[in-house]
Amino acid sequence: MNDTSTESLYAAAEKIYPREIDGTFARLRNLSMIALLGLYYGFAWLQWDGRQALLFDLPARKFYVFGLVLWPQDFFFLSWLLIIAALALFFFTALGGRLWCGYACPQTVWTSAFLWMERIAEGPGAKRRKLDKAPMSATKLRRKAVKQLLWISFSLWTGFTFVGYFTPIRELGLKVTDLSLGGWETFWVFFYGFATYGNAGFMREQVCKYMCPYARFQSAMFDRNSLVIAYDEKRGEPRGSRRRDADPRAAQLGDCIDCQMCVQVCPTGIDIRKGLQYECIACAACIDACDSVMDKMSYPRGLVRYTTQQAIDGNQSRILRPRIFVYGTLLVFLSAGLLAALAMRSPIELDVIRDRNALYRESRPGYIENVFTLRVINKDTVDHTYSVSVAGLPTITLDTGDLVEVPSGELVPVAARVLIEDGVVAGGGHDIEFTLSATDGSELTTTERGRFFTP
Amino acid sequence: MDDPVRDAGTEEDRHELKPRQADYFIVGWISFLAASLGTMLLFAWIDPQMLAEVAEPPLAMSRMTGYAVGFFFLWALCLLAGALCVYLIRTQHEQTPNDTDQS
Repeated sequence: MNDTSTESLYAAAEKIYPREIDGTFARLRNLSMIALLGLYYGFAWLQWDGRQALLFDLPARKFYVFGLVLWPQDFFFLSWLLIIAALALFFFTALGGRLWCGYACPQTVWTSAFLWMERIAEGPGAKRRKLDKAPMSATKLRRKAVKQLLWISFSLWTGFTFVGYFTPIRELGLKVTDLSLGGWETFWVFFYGFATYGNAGFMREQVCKYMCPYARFQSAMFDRNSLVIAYDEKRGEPRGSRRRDADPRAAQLGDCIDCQMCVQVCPTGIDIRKGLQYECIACAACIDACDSVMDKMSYPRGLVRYTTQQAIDGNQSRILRPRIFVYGTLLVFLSAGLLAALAMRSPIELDVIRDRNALYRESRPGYIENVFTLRVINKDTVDHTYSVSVAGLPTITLDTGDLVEVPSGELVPVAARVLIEDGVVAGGGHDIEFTLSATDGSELTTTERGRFFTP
Repeated sequence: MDDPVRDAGTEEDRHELKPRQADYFIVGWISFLAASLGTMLLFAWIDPQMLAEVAEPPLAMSRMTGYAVGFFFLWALCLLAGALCVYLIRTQHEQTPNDTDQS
């Protein structure tokens, strides 16, 4: 180990106490935070067709997404969805800059929630700084204890909800109340709770600064027409303090009064006036701060604003540009393709597995027998009954019960003994076809190949 | 907010993580993300219960245990790879003393 291992890993980073600010973007950000947290905590409890609407049932290896039941065989859809999500991120980054970071990233959302709880327990930024510097006292202890209590309960609730997306949350809730939670369930609740606590309570903006890959490579999706938050240097400089009624032109000053408000509200602790920096998560707190100061000085708003590099240089910004077309077209095609593929997805699936023990048997005199296991999967939302037939060789017959009943979302294994008369085909392997047809009038049918061996 | 208060953090206030400290977090976090993705891809195709059954001798292991073991195994592997990468990058000039004088 090296010399830093002896000190706290967090010690070197001075804690940032962002000052609270009200304004248009602060309200937008709060709205987005409440909506996203509401979705996360609420969706786990939503029911659909008598079961959890969103459940990635890992113990049963089945995913329920509203009316859809996805099997491991459908993993392809999930990868497709992830590609669409990545492309959407590219598209919105090219168009709107780091909107994701400022309004939607879980790191931002949970950090805001933790800051909000911190504010309830310890008061606003300046007060928290004072409290942290003060020696330990009964008040300090009480405030810190309240904060930790809020944080820990919220983290555990987050962990519980997270696990609730993977095992049914209602059962999980009952298990918590009668203290019969399983080992792994308990472990993951605490693991995810701890991750939430660490990332949102302590790491905060350092996750964005040091640990986030997107923050580093988003510049590749940027161009001079992407929306950024910038300080209007031409208008602001030379900066300097002045009396409220002074004429800045007479004093040869720009509009920036150098009040440092934009720096104080910044959750990552940067100075937006130094230009675009990769630490900037585009939360727009500095816009709100600067606008409120401009109002007080009776200057026009927008010294710090959402703009583009083009506009700052005095050119016209272009929204429609090749990059946007390419990302946009790909996005539309991939989304339409996914919807079409999901709509056309066959609700039945048949897997043919050969018996591992023997290639063939001469079970009855004059007959060759091969044994298969047919795995019949019903991905539909209703139960189905199927008949199984086999074809591909002369005299081929199937010695199996006639009908297979498969409830919705279930897999039923069927032992299938396939027989042909001895001597009707040459020795070796032969392709045969199993056909599964629904007998309940739903006209579902599927065919799967198998291999039949003769001596 | 009457008058803009001048107690903003000074430059010295806003220290960065030291490079060594940042290394630990970067390696830990990125390997966590990679292991999560790997776990998803791996177990989409392979049922851990099936692995347990075909193991010699067969293991009495539930699916949840299988997923967890798989995830931590991948995380450990990614941590090792990441840590070695950082170590080699950070020490490459120390290994060749002739280089250090020139830069």
